[in-house]
Amino acid sequence: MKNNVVRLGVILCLISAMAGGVLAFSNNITKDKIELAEQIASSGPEVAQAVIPGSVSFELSEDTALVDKIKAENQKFVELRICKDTSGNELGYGIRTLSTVPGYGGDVEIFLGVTNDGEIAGMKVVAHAETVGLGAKITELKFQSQFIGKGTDSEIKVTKSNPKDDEIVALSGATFSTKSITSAVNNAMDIYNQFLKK
Amino acid sequence: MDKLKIFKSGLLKDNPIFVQLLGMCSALAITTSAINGIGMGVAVTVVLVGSNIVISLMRKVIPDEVRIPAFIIVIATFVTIIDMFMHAYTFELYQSLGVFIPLIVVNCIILGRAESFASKNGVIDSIIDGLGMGVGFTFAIVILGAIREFLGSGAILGFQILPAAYEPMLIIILPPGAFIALGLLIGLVNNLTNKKKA
Repeated sequence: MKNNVVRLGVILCLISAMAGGVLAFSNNITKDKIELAEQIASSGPEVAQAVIPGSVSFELSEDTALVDKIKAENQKFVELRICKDTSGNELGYGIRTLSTVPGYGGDVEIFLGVTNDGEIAGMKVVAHAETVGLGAKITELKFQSQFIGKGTDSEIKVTKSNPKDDEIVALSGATFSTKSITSAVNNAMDIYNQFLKK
Repeated sequence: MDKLKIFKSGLLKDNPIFVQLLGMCSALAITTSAINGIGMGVAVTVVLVGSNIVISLMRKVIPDEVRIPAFIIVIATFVTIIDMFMHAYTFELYQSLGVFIPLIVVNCIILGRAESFASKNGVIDSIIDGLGMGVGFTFAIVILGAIREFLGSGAILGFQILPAAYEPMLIIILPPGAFIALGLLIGLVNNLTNKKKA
């Protein structure tokens, strides 16, 4: 009996060891690729272009004192990037933040592009878990273009129809998702007004 | 001839979704679009064929008393490998399938085939069985995904087919719609197969 337990244990142990070896090997192959894919998805050139059209580079802000200060005061803030065009001119800020109001599937994470004139230039949804076909439409340009060109002076509100200057029209059937992404935009605008406005 | 029978059994006669009703969790949750169905189907098929091969090869080595934990280790290893490779090479699909990739480990189709087929049959037959079941599963969830995507957003594989004026049937995209669509599909399949017999 006792012998049998040891035998079974050893066999399972051997199988697990083999599995571990195979996993280590494939982890080695994919590790760098995964890191690269994550990086392109969150801050590659495509994202820079969506955040502020015309920008090609998208560097993390080197002003660590400022970034630390924003982090301390705004819990939803993630990172600050500077958008530059091909000749190195600073076009504006890419502010990465979570929503302050959760959507249908938790917080929405976005990059909001604010130009040096304090105007919303574009955005990119970095992470969300909204329903496909409904709330997931927050990733579409058709919806996002409502934000573009708005100033950062007044908070953006959500309405059902006939939007005024500081309002956007909610996605039908996805009010939660709309409110969530709008809260993220407003949070990014707050950060801009409080810390970045010149 | 016999081999063809094994393959066809997974595809039609014992189709894991329509006939055996196995793997319902992932089938219901991710079929909001056809592309999700394809991604999930391919991932499950690869895991199924891989684990069938290994388990069939080791069927004489694995003692009966610990066969279930041994099977789970083999399956979990394959799933983790698939998870890492999808993360590295198909990033968007990886994000939209989310937690359901790691959950392939507990997909009963795979453990079911290991227990009832691969642990009793040779390697070649086990590969064919895995392929048949995998293709049957893929076929079923792609159809389900395409129907839900078509009715719920008027598109298939992301291509808009119905005019924009089409008011999407939101319920089909939401979780209850998965049950309704699957139920109607199974009814249709049963109807067709019964007619054949009569």
